[in-house]
Amino acid sequence: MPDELKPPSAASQLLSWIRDPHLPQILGDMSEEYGERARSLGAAAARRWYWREAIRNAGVLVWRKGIAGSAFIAFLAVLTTNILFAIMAEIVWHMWTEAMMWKSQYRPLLYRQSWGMGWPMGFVFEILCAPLVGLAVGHVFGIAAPERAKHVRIAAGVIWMVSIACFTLWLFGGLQSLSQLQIPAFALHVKRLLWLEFVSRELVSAGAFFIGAGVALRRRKEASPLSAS
Amino acid sequence: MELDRMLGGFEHLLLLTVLRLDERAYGVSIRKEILERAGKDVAIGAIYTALDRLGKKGFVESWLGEPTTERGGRAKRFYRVTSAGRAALVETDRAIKNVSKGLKLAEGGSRA
Repeated sequence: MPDELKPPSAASQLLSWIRDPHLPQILGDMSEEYGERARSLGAAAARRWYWREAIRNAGVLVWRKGIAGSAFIAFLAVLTTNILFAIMAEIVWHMWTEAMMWKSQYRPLLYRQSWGMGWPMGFVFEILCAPLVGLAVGHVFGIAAPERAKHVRIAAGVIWMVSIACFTLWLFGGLQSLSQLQIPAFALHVKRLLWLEFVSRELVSAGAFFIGAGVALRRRKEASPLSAS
Repeated sequence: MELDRMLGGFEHLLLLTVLRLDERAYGVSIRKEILERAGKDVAIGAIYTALDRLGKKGFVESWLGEPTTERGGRAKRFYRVTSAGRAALVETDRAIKNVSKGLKLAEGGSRA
């Protein structure tokens, strides 16, 4: 086979990472269509098509075939919640410090600190915003994975609890170095605040996610014609 | 009517396409036929996922062809509709006709 009729191997590799019983047929079909397109439209257009199809098929296989189990989807959900919350927090803290601290001589110090707006305000912000993000992400994942919404809710709950447990262990183990700096009172203070902030935010997010995914699940059941039977 | 013999929208389209292609139904030919006749650009992965589901229900059966160089040495998997698949098509068609009987589907009214 001439080189221009060979599909991009990196795109094929992307698909072959997904263990699917139909993978040889899918790659064979794509190679066949790639050859046809390369002859009629040119190698560049065929390559673009092949990459697009590889990415599209990878998504289809991961999502629809259930190769990515509920735990993986739940992990993505938890990760999405935390990333969205971090972005949101960064924007709000930036706006807050710009608006309130611009005169302060300590502004450079306060600017990038999560406690820049003062610890009670920061805590209120976490408690108010975390459920909004959790609810929205839960709802979207409940709609996107309706068949497994129930399992995703349970798996996400477990992942959140494991995450909180790991963080707690890290905090009590990892921050020991601060205690060794002969400022144990400060270390204890930081530990308490960090723990309270993280645990409350994650618990509230987890609860909101659970409700958000549950609302999507209930709406789907109500909309289903079989729900009446 | 048995509910497990009812076909979903995409399954219905796919089964009709496999029936139309007769013994020539495999990934590429099915994809092209759906694109040509229904105007839907379906991912090959979605076709195999649905065919897998139809196979488990006993509506299609498959067999492997010979490997070819244009497919990078990979064999085609051909599909054909079984008698259970034909019965499911008939039942689904009948159900759709019954439900849509007397309805004016074009915009402007719900009854003919």
